[in-house]
Amino acid sequence: MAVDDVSFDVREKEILGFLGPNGAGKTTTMRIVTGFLPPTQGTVVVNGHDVVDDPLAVKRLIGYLPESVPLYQEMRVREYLSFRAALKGVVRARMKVSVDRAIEECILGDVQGRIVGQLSKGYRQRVGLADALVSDPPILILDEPTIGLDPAQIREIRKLIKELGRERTLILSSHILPEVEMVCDRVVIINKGHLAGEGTPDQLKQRLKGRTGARAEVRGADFDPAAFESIEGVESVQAHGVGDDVHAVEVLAAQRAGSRLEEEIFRLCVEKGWVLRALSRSAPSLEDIFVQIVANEAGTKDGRGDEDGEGDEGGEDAVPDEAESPEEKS
Amino acid sequence: MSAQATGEKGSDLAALVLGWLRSVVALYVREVRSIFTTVLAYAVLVLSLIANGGVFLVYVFVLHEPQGINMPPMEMFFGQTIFFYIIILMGPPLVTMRAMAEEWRSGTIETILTAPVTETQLVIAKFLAYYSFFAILWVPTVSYPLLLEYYGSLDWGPVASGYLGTLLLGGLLVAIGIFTSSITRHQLLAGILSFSIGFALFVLGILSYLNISAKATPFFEFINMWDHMEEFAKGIVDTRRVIFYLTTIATVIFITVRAVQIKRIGS
Repeated sequence: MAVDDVSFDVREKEILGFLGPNGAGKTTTMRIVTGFLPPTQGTVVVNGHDVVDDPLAVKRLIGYLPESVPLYQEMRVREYLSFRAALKGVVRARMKVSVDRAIEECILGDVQGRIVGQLSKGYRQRVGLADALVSDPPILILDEPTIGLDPAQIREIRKLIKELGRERTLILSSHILPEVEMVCDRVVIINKGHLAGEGTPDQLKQRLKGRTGARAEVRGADFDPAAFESIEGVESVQAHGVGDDVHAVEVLAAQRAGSRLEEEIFRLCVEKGWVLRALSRSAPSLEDIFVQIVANEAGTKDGRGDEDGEGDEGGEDAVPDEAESPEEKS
Repeated sequence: MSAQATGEKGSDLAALVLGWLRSVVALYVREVRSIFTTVLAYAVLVLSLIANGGVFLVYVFVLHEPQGINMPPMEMFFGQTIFFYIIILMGPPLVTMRAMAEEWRSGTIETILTAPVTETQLVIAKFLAYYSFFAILWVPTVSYPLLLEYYGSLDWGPVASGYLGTLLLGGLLVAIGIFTSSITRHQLLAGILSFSIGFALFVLGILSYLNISAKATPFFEFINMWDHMEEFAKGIVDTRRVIFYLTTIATVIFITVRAVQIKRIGS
């Protein structure tokens, strides 16, 4: 998966949401930031350390939870966390304290003696989180931390993440908008490897708001969904057949179309000689609109809000750019 | 960092080296423990024990015959029968095939390499762990020369060099196993590949007896494991052999580190 010209910065002790549909390049970007994949162009700077020039220094600052939560299945929870702590350079004298703290923070006390492979998905996710924070890194990067969990577990993990983000810089990738909205201070939207937008959830909502939708059922032998696009303010039309010449149509329009949208649909059907069997206003879900915006912005490269314009002029490949305030670690 | 005295720099370096070693030790300990959680490890351990034990018994009987071959039993034990090579060619591929392939398959390679750890540390730790397991395979066989010593007298020099030869050959085969395991996520493929390479080396060496080509024969002789083991079993420690195995082991480990780096970038 290629990532092209994705520039963003993360500030100290902020929770940054990294939002994009599946396959947008989120994981690739995370892997570049954590030093697992090298960028073909551009830089990632973490607290003044460049990930290409000094990967070990960057890795020491970052706790990373990959999307698939890879764990050694045959190890016991406590044994695994101690191993990870040793790898991350936690000194022997502090080992027990560090592991205890990670276990406590991720509420793993009950299962610390259990074998990882026998734990439920939710527990394994928490072991992964505990792994990420066992060396108490100033930066946490979590790739889709709630994927594959049941709703109760999702709530639990989100709560945990929010708490973890209080004293740390946290990057959270997700394809679920409400999650990002709930947890994050600021959001970067990525789509098809490009930056599609950036801002606080409120700013984002402002952009997502102001859209109105209508659902209609129309019968007509010469039905043509493209006709709806002639209505002023309409941004997208989706139609599918539901029976003999009967079609369900979903229309999404800008706010300015307002309540006139239904009237216009009615008028259009009369004009075309189609039978309007049903017509209702629909409140498009935030996620629908998000997908809509991302689709519209696929060609646009520039993100809104503050960009930090360090050299990354339209590379072919991965160019994320993360700058941290260097004071953070001292 | 720049404004530090040289003495402090020295201790910095020491701390750096210690830190480097500490990660290797952590990876090594984890790996050895992990090897002993697999059924395969115990199967290889038991089978090699049965094979070695049975074979040793046969040697003792055969060599006891007045008309039999006149050779010290331990000399015959080290590499002068095909059984030795069955263990040494089959054992390492069977055990090492999961070494890196499993990391790729499960994705744990990502957590390892996003910790402050380099590919070199990882590969060295893996090699040492599986090499240790290989060495453990031979520990019970020490009881054979001990038995011989108990019932008669034994020249321990050739026994020691026999073990040295076994460890050198095994080191190369373990390194090859780690290499093939690190280029694929499929264990079985890695196992078949490393067995094939080891077996090819063995067969090429044997070819030197056939003298098929004046040009190639010196090369075949150079890699002839059977010849090498015959020397070691007789108590001859030829530094050429030792250097040959040590350098090939180091080369294979180096190539493995490179292979892991390339595969990581391509993942």
